[in-house]
This record gives sequence, structure tokens and C-alpha cells, in this order.
Amino acid sequence: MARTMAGPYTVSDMLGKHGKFFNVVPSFGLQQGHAADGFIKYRRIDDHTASHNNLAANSKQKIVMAMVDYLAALIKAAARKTEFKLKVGTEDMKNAYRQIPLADSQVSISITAIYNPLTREPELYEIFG
Amino acid sequence: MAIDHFFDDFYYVVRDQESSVTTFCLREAFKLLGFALDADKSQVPAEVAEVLGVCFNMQSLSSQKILMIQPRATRVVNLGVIIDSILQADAMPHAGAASLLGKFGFLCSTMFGKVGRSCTGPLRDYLKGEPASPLPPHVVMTLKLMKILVHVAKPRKCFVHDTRSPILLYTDASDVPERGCNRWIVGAVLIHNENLRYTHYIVPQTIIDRWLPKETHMGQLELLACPLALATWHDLLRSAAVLHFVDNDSAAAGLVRGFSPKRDSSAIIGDYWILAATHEIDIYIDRVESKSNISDGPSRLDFTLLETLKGHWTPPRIDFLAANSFSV
Repeated sequence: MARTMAGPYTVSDMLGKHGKFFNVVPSFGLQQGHAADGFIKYRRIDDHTASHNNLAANSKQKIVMAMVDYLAALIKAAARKTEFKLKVGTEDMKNAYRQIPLADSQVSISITAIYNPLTREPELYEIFG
Repeated sequence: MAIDHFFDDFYYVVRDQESSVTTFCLREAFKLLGFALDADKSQVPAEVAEVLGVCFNMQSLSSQKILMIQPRATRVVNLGVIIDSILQADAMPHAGAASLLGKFGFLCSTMFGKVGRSCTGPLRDYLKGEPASPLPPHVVMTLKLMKILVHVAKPRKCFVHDTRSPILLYTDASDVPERGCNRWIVGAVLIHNENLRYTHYIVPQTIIDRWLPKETHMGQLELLACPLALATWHDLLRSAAVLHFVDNDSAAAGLVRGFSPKRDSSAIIGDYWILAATHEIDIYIDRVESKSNISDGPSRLDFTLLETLKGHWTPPRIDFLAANSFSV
């Protein structure tokens, strides 16, 4: 799989590459229970609300969430059609939406940054998906 | 194969004999589209599968046409760890309380009926005030109760072909001060295989005194009729499909939600769903016009219509009131 991010860059690198309107998307860790080894699990979340990207976005389509009840209905519907045993399998996309490409025109407003405690400087990265 | 997804989690239902080739074709299709899959998270088709934190058990599907749904074991463990850490700290920030409510609500959705939701009231109240340390005793009790419930609650059962004829249940209540010591009465009527049964219970002052002080207790009385009916006819209702008709909007909405903002009402709703889960009663709650509610009579000590219809009176069972399981 091709790389989904590029960097680290400095602020002046980004100014040179994307101009003065590049936008930084902060991120935070969302606690998601505990892993099997007992350690707390965190998922990194890009905060497009904090960066105001969401204010500039518009959705024309309502996304219907196919959650637990939907799968239960799917199994019941399948069971009505067959007398054979049924099974359920799952597939998970590697790195989730990092595989869904970001339009080239949007890369400059989705730069993410982390603080490097060793250099005491921010590090900026381009995100491509 | 039937397939759908929740964001990046794909799940599919497949017949046993085609499961291997279907999985192969699905993975090749992802590959053709250029998407990589996470082999560590993928599950090959199985009769017991964990999807979105929920365990789907299809082992009884072909023989009994029953699908069992229950929380994933690690979710139950994680909830216990979170509760233990809150109890140990004897403090809980609002964000922690809101997160816990969300996690518990999700677990409840995979448990039988609405059991457990009534015990979330103190946590909802906690969110309206300032975070406290030490935690108030009723919040501590709620947290402990949540932990117990997710361990003991029964899985949700889904019937593929529900051939059961539903039993009809009507409940009602009245509060007439002029009746003196018979002021508060609840009534219920059950219609099963064209047999009509009815009951009524004159609510004593000692029960009323358990509830929050107010001018009228109609809301609580309307609710009390509901667990009383389940307790009275639990033998007939066991594993049955029930259409439960209530003529009070607030009571019906509370039963459907599984909790009420009022603590006394929530305790009664808790008893209702505990009885439903204990006896595995599948209940659908709906509103009936007051004039069409056949249990209006017994809730007013008027048995004329039911006697004309050759109804049989059943003594009310009130043992659940002694247990008072959800009074937190």
C-alpha cells in the first residue's frame, strides 16, 4: 500500500508548498476501552471540527448506518429463505479510511501536526487519505 | 451472500456450504478494487460471530429458528473495569458519566427487553449537577447495579418465524379520593385463546409512601399495574408474545424507553422489565384509547362487563413488590 502521509515538514516547508492558506487539523486520542493485555486503547481522531473544515463541508446525502439491528434483520431474512446453516463473517479495511484518497485540492487544508518533545518543535504532515 | 458495512467494518451472511468460496471471492473483490484488508481483524464465517461488539449466535437458527444476540465478553469486562476505576477514585467527571451511560445503553440494546435501563436515572441526574467526590450513595449503588446487570442479563432472542399468537394484555389504574381506603386501585385484563382473565389490586398506603410526595400518583399507579400483571400471569406469559395496551401516554413511553426521569417511576419500570426478562416475555407496548381499555372496569371495582363476558378473576401477585429490585 502506498504511503498515506508525507512528512515531517516545518511550517515554512508548508508555506512554501501550499501557500499561506494551508490549514492544520489537530488530533486527539479517543479512549476505547481496554485491549486484551489490559492496557487502555486509544484511537487517533483527526478533529476536522476544531480546524473548521466541517464548517466548510456540505453533505447532500444522508448516510444510513447499518448497525447491529440491521445485521440481525439480515440474518433473519436469510434464515427465512433457507433451511441450511447460516454463518456470519467479517472483513475490516486496513487503516480504515486512510485508504480512501483525499482530493489533491483538499490536501492543503488537512495538514496534521504533532509536537516533538525532543526537538520541542511541531512536526507537520500531509495526509493523502 | 448478503453483505453490508458499518463504516470500514464489513459483515456478510452466507450459507455454511458456500462460506469458504464466498470469503475467497469477497477478498479477491476487495483486492481488485485496490483496498487492503486487515487479516488480524477479519473473521472467517462462523455460527457464533462477533460483529460491532455484539455476539450473534446462530447455532439454534436452523433447528429452532432462534437468533441469540448478546454483548461481546470483552465489552462486559471493559465496562466492569471502568466502573471499578470510578468506584476506586470515588469521583466521576461528567465526560466519564456520559461515556458510561453510552456504553451501558449499547450493552442494554443487546440484552433481553429493556432490562437495566431504569437504573441509569441517578447517573442522568448526576450529569445535571456538579461532579461530586465522594460520589453520592445512590450513584455508587447505580454503578454496582450496572456491573451486576450486564453479567446476569439474558441474551436477546429473535424469532425468525414467529408463529405465536400474541396474548393481549390491558392495564389501567384509578385514584378516587372519595373511595376512602379503596382510593388507589390498579387493574389488568388478559386475553389468551379466547379466555378472558382479570385481576385488580387495592394499593395500600404503605406502597404510596414509597413514592415521591405529590398530589396524585396516577403516573406511578398506571405503571404499577404493568409489573403486577406480568407477576400475576407469569406462568401463562412465559416465552409468549404479548401485546400490552396502556391508555396513559407517559406510562407507555416510560415502559418503551425502559426508564423514567422520575426515580419512583423508574423503579417500577425496572421491576416490569426484570419480570419480562426473567420469564422471557416478548412484549410490544402500544397505546389504547381510554374508552377501549377493558381493564378500566377492574381498576374501578366495576366487574360487570367482565362477568358478562365470563371472565375469570385471578388473585393478584405482589411478591415482586417485596423484592423492590430497582429502588435505587
